[in-house]
Amino acid sequence: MTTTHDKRRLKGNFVLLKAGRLQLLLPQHDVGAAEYLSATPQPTGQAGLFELPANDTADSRFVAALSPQMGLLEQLPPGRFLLTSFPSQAGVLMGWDDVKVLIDAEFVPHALPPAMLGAAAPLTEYVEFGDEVAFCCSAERLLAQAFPARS
Amino acid sequence: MDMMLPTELAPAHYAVPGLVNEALVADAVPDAGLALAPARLLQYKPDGCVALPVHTTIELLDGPLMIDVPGATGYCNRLVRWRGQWLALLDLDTLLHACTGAGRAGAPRYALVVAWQHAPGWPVEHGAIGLATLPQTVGVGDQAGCELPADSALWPLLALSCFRHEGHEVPILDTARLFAVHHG
Repeated sequence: MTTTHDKRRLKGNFVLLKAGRLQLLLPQHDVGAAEYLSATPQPTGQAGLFELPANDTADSRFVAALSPQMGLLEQLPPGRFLLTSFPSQAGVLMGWDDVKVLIDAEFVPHALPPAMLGAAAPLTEYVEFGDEVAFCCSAERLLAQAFPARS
Repeated sequence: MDMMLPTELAPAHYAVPGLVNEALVADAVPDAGLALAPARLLQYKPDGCVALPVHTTIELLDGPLMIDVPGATGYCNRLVRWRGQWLALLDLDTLLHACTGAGRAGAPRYALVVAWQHAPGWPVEHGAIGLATLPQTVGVGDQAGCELPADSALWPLLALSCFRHEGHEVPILDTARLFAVHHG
């Protein structure tokens, strides 16, 4: 998969991740396979991070859910039953309301206005879906925003 | 109440600080004897107002569609829908008095769409200012000119001029300066 960013066009394969009103558009290669949440995650003692019940074949895995500000929600909302992993961060999954894979898609990215962008702004562009907006992101920036202590 | 309707934009204008009429009227002629210039008066906090040149104010939106922008600056962290575009929505009180933007103010009822040009002939750009109350239109003369208030270090960077209205200092803001850069 090649994501090109030429002359105000984003082309390639993407994953659209929805968490409440927040929608993020990531390159498909940044996101692992999606799976359903099939068991109740258990609190870990770290706010916003829950452990998935282990099975015989897997190491411990943890799940979290994003707030509208891309921080971690303290509770896992019931609608976040779709989980994605991230190849760059083994063992951590994020729960979403909806996950769509967009193959051979093309978007016109819009830059966020300068007044919005602080020195460490995790998002700098967005694309439009009708009356809705998805922010262009990467797994690295998503995880850094969600887990600032780890970055 | 003067409701704002789409207006034809006058060329961008940068005034000599301290001259109220020149700051408010795009094609004002210095010393032409203009008695009162119209200004949009915006209440950005319970005891504070700013003014904008009328020609920079385009439309007032009541309850517009808004989207939060994660990780954006504390004073400008929402997009607002206007005529098929998404505009940056700016919170003046947070910008002027809490630049670190630790908190996130509630969504304002109104969004005032404003326009600017960085220079004559350049594209017109748009942004929006969040408001809890409707703007007013007032007439202002040079004789009302006064010093900028001292309650924010940003006033000299953002204001074209200042006048006194009903006992309060009212800075006249340059919309381009509000939106053009990150006031970190």
